[in-house]
Amino acid sequence: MEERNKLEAAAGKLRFERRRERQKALLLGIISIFIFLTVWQMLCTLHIVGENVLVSPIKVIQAIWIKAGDTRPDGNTLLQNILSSFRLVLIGFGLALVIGLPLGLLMGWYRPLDKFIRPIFEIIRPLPPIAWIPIVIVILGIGTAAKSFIIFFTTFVPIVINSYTGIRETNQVYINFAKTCGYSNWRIFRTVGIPSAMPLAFAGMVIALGNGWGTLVAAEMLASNSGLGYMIFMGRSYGRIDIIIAGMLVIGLIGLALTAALELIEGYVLKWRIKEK
Amino acid sequence: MERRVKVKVEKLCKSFGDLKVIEDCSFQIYDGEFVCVVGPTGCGKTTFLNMLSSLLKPTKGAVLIDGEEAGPKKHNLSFIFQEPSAFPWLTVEENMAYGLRAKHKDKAYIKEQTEHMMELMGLGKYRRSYPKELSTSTEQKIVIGRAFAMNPDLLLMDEPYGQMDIKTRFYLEDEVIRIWKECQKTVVFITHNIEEAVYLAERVLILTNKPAKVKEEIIIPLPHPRNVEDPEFVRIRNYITDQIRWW
Amino acid sequence: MKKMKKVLAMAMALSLGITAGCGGGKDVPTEQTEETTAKEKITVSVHPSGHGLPAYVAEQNGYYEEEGLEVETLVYIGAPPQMEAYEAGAWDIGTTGFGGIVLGVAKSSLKIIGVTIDDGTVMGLWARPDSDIVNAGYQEETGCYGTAENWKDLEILYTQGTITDIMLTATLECLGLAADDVVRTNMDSSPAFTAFQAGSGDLVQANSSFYFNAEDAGWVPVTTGVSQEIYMPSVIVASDKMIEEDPETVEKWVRAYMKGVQWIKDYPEEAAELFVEFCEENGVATDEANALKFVDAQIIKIPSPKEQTGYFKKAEEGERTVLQEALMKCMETYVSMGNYTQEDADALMLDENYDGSFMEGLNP
Repeated sequence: MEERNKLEAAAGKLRFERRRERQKALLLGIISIFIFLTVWQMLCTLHIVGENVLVSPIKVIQAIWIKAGDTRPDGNTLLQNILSSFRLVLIGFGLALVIGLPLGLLMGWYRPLDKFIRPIFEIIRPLPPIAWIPIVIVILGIGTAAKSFIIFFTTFVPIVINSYTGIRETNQVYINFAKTCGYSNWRIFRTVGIPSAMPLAFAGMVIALGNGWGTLVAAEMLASNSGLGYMIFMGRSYGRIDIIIAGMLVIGLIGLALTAALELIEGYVLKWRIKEK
Repeated sequence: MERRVKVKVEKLCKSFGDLKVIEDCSFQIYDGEFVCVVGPTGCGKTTFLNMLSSLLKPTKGAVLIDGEEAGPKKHNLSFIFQEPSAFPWLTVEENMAYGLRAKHKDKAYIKEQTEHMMELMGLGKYRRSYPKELSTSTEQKIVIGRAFAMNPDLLLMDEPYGQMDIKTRFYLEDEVIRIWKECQKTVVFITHNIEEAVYLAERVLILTNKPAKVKEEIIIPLPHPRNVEDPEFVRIRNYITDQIRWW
Repeated sequence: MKKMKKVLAMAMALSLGITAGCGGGKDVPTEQTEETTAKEKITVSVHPSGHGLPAYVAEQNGYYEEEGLEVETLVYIGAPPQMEAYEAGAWDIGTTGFGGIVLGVAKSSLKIIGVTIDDGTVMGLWARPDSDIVNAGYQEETGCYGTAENWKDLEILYTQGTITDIMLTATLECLGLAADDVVRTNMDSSPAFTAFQAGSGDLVQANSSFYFNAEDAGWVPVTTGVSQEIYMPSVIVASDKMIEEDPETVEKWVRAYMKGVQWIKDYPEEAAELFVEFCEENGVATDEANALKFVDAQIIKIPSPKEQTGYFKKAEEGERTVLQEALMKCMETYVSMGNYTQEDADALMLDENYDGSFMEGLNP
């Protein structure tokens, strides 16, 4: 009985210590952001940095607040711009997922397919998305298809690579067991290969989404009349540094939110993974 | 009691290039028998087992189960590896059913078998848990349960407790005997641990060094559960140890 | 830990960016005059367009050397990068278009010391020859092709935030349409041209060097700066610092530039050749025939120093100069469209932003 109590006490103490650790980390994070913002504000208030170079955090927040309802100077409200960019990334990322995930998995499992596709893939892979713009304009025009393609391109590569690697790393023991059970190669692919590849595949998706969201500025450079990248370009044309930084901030925050959302989904789908404490 | 021959190995040979691992190996295994295979380290025990499970094809000779050449489609073969091989992405219940699903479509039958096995192994309360949430010994129980649930013609175990601590090993040894008695399946169990072999087997096959063949077979008529301090147990163990040492 | 790393990275990136800005500000390449015999080193910035050509001519013909100037010329494709470089202290004197006037003069410390080409002369929105708008024909009253019906919902490829906006707005006003009645797609000149060739869009902007390329392509200018009667001067600018600390050098460069202007007026064909060189060196495609048209349309019309002095004068106290009036007209359009604020417009109108003394100094 006493032993039991001692154990419980020890476990409780451990939980308490862990919570303290987390609180400390959170506090440190908040402090560092606070220091960062203060330094930034100081640089602007004391005019150490000119107003045409950097705008204070307060003005940036103001710009966001005002832009929420104001269409100036680019002709869209902040929300319209967000939705426009979001749409592009959704289409590009969605396509990359639908095409890239099966492709990577199949390439990783079936050697002949791998050998066939590899060379093309390796050539395309290192090309920067901006380099595609001239060709894309001629082939796909300047609408959503063209811009989504740029995004598709940056999201496609990590998804394929990660699902490929993920399935290649499938533990041979699992495959052997399935073989002895009498499963066909196709069924082993589905019941062993694919689930085993999911952790890495998801990691690839998270990277891809980050890439894709970050590429929206380049994609909107192609031609646009709305979007966060467009908003930043217009800010530049009209000398509105506050809008430029506001745009960057919004892009950054939404990117964070998207990653967090995806990781939440990952946590649910992959709930069988070893939980790291 | 006349048992019929379940597995017949005829002049089995396996070479990897010039390396002869198994040569001219012949023996029989009876239906429902628990056989342990021992031998010096690196003599080809795993290769041997892989051929019984048809993961490897023999260079010469044949492995026959119920008179036909062994194959995973024809026969129900179950393999338990040294590493825990429960699929981490399936629950305990789903893992148990995996082997069955290969060849059975009848959901009711699968459910029945799985339930029965889970009860037998005492895993019922973990049915919706994932392997990584459970201890290693429980994980191996899942593996054992999954193997037996398949109603295998031949159950092959390749040093399944090699990586476990003593307590867990003793526990799982008793478990496998218990289940084996209950299900009456044919088991071939490979180990380098002589004590384990003598503890479990009805018959022990001693393999020679490479190129391996059956050097000797020792019948152990002791009843289960066995007492490791029993003088007869000790005698047999020492005998087998000597046999191996001199090779 | 992850969050800290992110913040640290942001902080480092930002401080790097700031130090770049600050550091740039400190390393002003302009040096104070040493001996009058030693050459003055200055950094000049222009666009690869009509208002940059006289500077190129001055360089090629040795006018800089005559003035005792050692000039490094920075060429920017548009006002935003040019003005960003100005903030970083990369240059002190040069020429720029309307975008640069707002970014550099209204919002920063550049002063207007002269005018150069009129951007309104080679500015146009073009349509394909077989399109409805062209078939509808040119209307004298509105100064453009087609009726409001033809224009509605057309997709226009152009660079927003530039002078094309003024022309477009003027046209829409004449037609009685609002800004939202057309689809505005923002693109840079070069990709817009290519895209239009490939079939995208209904109208495309083609100004400056692109104007005659569009003509060659067989397209029809459905509205132009001329038909909309737009006077949009590009200007010569210098930093307040350089004007205050080194006015002699400013004078020298302006003189060299205006010498270039005169030479172009005297030798248009040779000037056209130089223009082709100038454009190609800076990634703008053109050919000699178009270059000559360009020279004739724009550069020959640059006002002389005497004429320019008039631009800086006020008829009466409290009124605007000719130059201010012209600029204000454009600013008003932008403010009404919401692109710039009234503060920007007011700032641009401040008298201290204009300095006609250099043009006066050039009068014989």
